Amino acid sequence: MKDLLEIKRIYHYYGSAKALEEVNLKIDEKSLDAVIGPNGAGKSTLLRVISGLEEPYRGKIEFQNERIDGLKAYTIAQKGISHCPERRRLFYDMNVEDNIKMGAYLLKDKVRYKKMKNFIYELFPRLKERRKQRAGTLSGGEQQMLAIARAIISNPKLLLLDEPSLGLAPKIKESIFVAIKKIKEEGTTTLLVEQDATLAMDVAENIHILEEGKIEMSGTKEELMKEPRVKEAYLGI
Amino acid sequence: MEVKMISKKSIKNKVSGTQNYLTTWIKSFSGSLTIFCLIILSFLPFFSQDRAYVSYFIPQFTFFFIYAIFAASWDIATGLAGQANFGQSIFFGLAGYIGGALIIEMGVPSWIAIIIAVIGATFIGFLVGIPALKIKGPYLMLVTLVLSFIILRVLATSHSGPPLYGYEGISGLPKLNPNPIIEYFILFISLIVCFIIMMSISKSKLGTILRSIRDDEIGSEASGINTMKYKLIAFMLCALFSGLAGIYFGLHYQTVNPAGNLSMTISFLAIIMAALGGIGTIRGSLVGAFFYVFLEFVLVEIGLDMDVVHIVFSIILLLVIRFASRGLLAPLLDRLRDLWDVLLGR
Amino acid sequence: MFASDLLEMLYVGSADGAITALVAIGFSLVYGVGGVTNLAHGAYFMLAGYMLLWILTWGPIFSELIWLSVVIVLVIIAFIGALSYLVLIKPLQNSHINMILITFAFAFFLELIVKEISGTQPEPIDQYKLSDIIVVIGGVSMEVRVLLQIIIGLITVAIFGLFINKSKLGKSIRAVSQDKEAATLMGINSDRILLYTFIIASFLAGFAAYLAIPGANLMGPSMGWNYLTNSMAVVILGGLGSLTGSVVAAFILNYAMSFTLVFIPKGEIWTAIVPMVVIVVMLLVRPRGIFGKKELK
Ligand SMILES: Nc1ncnc2c1ncn2[C@@H]1O[C@H](COP(=O)(O)OP(=O)(O)O)[C@@H](O)[C@H]1O
Ligand SMILES: [Mg+2]
Repeated sequence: MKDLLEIKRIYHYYGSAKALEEVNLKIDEKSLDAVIGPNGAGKSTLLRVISGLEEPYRGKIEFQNERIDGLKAYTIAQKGISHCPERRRLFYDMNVEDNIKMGAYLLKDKVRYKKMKNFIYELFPRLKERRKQRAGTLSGGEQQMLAIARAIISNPKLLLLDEPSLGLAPKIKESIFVAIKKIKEEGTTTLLVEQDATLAMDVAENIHILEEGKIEMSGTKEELMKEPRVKEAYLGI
Repeated sequence: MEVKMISKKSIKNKVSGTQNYLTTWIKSFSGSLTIFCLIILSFLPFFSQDRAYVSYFIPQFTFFFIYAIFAASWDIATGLAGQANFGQSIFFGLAGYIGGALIIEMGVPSWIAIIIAVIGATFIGFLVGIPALKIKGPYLMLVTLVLSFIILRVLATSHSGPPLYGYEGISGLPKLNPNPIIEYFILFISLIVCFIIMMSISKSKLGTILRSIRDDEIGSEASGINTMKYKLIAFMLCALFSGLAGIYFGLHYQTVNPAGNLSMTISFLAIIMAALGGIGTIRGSLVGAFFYVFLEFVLVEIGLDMDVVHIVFSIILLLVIRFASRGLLAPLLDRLRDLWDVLLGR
Repeated sequence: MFASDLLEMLYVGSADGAITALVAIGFSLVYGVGGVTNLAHGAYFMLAGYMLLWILTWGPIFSELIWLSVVIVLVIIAFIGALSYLVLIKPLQNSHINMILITFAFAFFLELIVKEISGTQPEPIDQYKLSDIIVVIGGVSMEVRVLLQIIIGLITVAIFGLFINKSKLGKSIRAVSQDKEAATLMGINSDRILLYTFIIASFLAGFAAYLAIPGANLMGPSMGWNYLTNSMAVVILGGLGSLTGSVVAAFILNYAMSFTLVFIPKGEIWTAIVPMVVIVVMLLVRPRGIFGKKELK
């Protein structure tokens, strides 16, 4: 299979504090990968470096065999990488529909926009009901749905999801993950970052464990389940 | 609480420490340069008995001394503590008014008037700054900017004579000293004292705290610094020294009025001089003020109108902030220092 | 007597309120979108006013074709707004203090240039007057041009409101002001959006000058600072990020000022203090303003 994204020996620092150290990662086209790890491991930083919100200190990022590190975030978005950031970051003063419209800022094709909007409203019927409501007044689960909807409306080639389950009740978490699976099945390559390892391992094909800025282990669920350390630290078994 | 026990021995250590510090300082580049300048400035008034020299050239240095104190005082609030202050003219001008009114209305001796004016300016700084204890954000910047216009407008549109003196302001003030050379030395010594105080503040723990507030206010707050309190302190120090400069300025011109002592141009002067020397350095103000006074002198000598001179300086200020935020003269001094090291064979 | 005083107060306050609203909207927009406290914003107003005066002396074409000279002035002022962002502010975006200082230096520079060309005396411009007619209503004589100024000012604000709430560019501007990083992730170039807001803001300030000044006086090159301070007071009173807030605050502020002028002895002096009182009281009592969503940072 072809690599959509290849990250080579990425380092990143905040001031003098190291956040990422020699991270290597390959994402295949049409796959669903997950990065798991404890709080402060550098998961969000990894996504921010990919989407251009942070410029990596050293290393190379290739997307469709083209270097994208050092590019501005909005240019990277134009290339088809969509980043659904941590804590949702909606436009809270706008209504649901306008948030989705902003997500489609780059989509010039009206027909495609209609089609994607239908897909989104099928995926999250709740959003359709609330489309005139201000984003700030939605519940946590609805806000997360909207954040995902806003990220996928542009029909990205690569979707980066940062902790979509954060702060949600277990049942809502599950429904979000059902949606993530569906998005993947529609053919969107997805890189998911999660603290909830059980949920992530259930949906992801490849799992990468990030600890203190380093990728410690990579593999499928079955491979990682053989490691006693992983079972103990992440699955609590 | 840490209780410091001062024994004779520690004092002795301190004294020899200071001596050591002084000797190394004198040998250093900035030390030698400072001593050199001090010596030149001490003998400068005696180089010529020529009338034009004494009564026209020497007073340029008088301006230099006043402006240097003034610019450095702005740098304490803005450069050190990061509180953009656009109302520098408030303290400068009102100190002049307070001192002037005391002298004219109550016949108070000049030196007492100076002291009261400085205290008054500091108190105004306190009054303006005190709400800052409660309000975060750009409060000081906003209020200093707005207040300076308001004070200017209220004074300029008031009736002449006490209490506000109107558009004409106060005139007939006595000179600091009728002899320009003695005036020169009074201001020269004031300059030295003020800069020793301001530089020690900048180097002290207080200076470090102010810089940390400037660089990261939220972080400093998180590490337990009462940022509001320190901002207020910086602001009052700024008011104190600019008040001193302001009353000296008023006494030098023997008059205080809205246009000359309270206008936007006054605040602009402080900013351009500090920026020329390098914002946040305090001592840069010395170089900036020197550069300003003598470039102005030259531009006026070649026949430029004062307004045109100010246009030239506003362009210089734009260029300095845009392209050389370290100041024009810090890089120049670096070159000189390299030269110095070469000369000493280091 | 009292009734006509009250009417006078409303007349003066509304006339200034409409102008202040136009100027303050732009100031607030630039602050909200880019975090830029643009101290040169009042200078755009001042400069546009003086350019209207200057352009008359360029030749008979301009004093004949009034609309052409107004359009030229507005284009130039919008261009100056764009340049002040591109040349001065954008390169300093990571140093807040230098950014503020350079806008101050620029405002001062524009003021000095105007002072050099036109001096400090108040100057009337009559050529562009919207109307010469004077009507007397309730014992107060009102100029029709001032009434038009109020109406056109409010219509402009309404058009601006439609633009910012309904158009795609308007929505992108709001997106950047609400969350710049998130907007970037949508593919929005926030630098370009900020450039547009500078253009819009300077244009609105220039347009306000066109409405306000012909028929009245150019009050000298330092008059820009008054509009700047009033804009600041409006933003603090009305709150950031609220268009309605800015408009309501502009009127409240100017009614307070015209009230002082009409009803308080020596009011001409004390009106100057009103914006200051508003700023201090609001910051102490309710720092986010009447309608505001976030506090000033
Ligand atoms: N903006 C920032 N400034 C300074 N340090 C940061 C910043 N963002 C994250 N960090 C630090 O970088 C490390 C990695 O953070 P992050 O990528 O957010 O981890 P995770 O998403 O895995 O919880 C942490 O130690 C965190 O404190
Ligand atoms: Mg995270």
